[in-house]
Amino acid sequence: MPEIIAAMDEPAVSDIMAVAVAQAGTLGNGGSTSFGPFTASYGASATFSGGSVKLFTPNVVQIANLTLNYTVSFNLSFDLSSIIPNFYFPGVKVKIFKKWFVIIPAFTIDWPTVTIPVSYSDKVTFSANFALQTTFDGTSWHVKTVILGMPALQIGPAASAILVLIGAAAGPVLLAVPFIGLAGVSVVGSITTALGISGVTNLLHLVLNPFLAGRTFELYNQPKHFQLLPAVAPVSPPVFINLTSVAAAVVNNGEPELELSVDIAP
Amino acid sequence: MSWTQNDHLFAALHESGANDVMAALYAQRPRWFNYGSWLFVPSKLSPNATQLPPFLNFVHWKAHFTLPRLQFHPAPPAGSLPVAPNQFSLTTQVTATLLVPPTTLATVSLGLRAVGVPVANAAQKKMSVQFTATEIQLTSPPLPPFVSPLVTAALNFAIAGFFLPYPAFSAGAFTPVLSGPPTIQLDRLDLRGNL
Repeated sequence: MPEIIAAMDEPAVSDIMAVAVAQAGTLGNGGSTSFGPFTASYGASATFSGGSVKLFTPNVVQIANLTLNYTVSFNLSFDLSSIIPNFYFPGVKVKIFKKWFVIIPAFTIDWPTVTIPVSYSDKVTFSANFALQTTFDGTSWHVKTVILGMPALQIGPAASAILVLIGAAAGPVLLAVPFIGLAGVSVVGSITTALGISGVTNLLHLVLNPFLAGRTFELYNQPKHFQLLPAVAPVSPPVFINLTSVAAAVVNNGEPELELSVDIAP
Repeated sequence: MSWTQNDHLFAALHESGANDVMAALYAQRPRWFNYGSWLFVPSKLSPNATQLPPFLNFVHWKAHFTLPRLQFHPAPPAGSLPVAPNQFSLTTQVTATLLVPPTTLATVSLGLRAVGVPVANAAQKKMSVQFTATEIQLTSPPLPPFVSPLVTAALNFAIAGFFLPYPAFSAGAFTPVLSGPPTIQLDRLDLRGNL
């Protein structure tokens, strides 16, 4: 029989989990990747919110309707020449008077590399299973929930919106490219076609997955040297006991509950 | 039956844990276990003993309790005191000295047993469980005058000052708002409540 038992039902765990989710704070992520002709450097920030908890024996905490609120910023770089053909002018020789000619020699416009910046904020709601994990770091006991696997994020609409944003952001960038009007094709259309929904979706997964992979939320954190009583100034110092073991599990004796079992020593 | 039943939170301290807590208190808050009048405890600010008034203003005294042992219902009777449902028993030894300067009237060691109930104290944000002795019994040969009321008063004072904040019952997992009084059953002191 544990010396201390602390049990919480699903609504209570939901409330405590909401605090744990909020305490995860604002998360950051950044990097760069290449795919096809594109190189993307990106930065992202994210917070979690919401969620309701269901418990399953022996140690699964399922969080439904957990929301990932995120802002991503991309700098999408690519060589325009890899998207649209270089412009080749074959040259002309125009007679303007008797033996006088104007000659424009042949030339090729090698399109430059351009960078399109895009920033996008959105949220995506998902459900995931977490496992209870108890650890002791030498000083404190921690009970965390650790995500199991990678939940499926419905980010198709976000990818479509980002693709539209990229198209819109490409316009001003392309205006600064000399002779782009000579390209003879819809450059913006070529860019968005080259990217495609799948390209943006993959990019978005690359940015958001690190926020989820191995994600933990901490439900319990107490020092082993646990303060039992506060100090009463000026005569009584605080009183401590030692938490010698802490274990967490889901039990079901009529309803699912998260049970903390704690042993103590003076 | 679930731990939380009709509430959302449950916290329980087992009898063995309660005795670990008592041992920690005994080691770290000795003034809860040592009492005396100013002749024995000159300072009101002593961390080692609690100063109480002399008896009848001239009989000085001191009392030292050994580490008390707690038992929660169900428990064998404490002496002739039965331990009813929702009650605890407390057993200790007390050494008491009575003195009218310059003469020591008596030094006695006696067994002390008490039964009591836990009481929630949510007033003044204390959010704690206090313990109230409902009956105290001294086991000793015939005592000199004044000893019995002094020791009883000291024990009552000690028990009244003994409290445990709610988080002590959940090892800090949460601080419940209790939905009912603390209960003692199956060698446990149980709290139920909500966030």
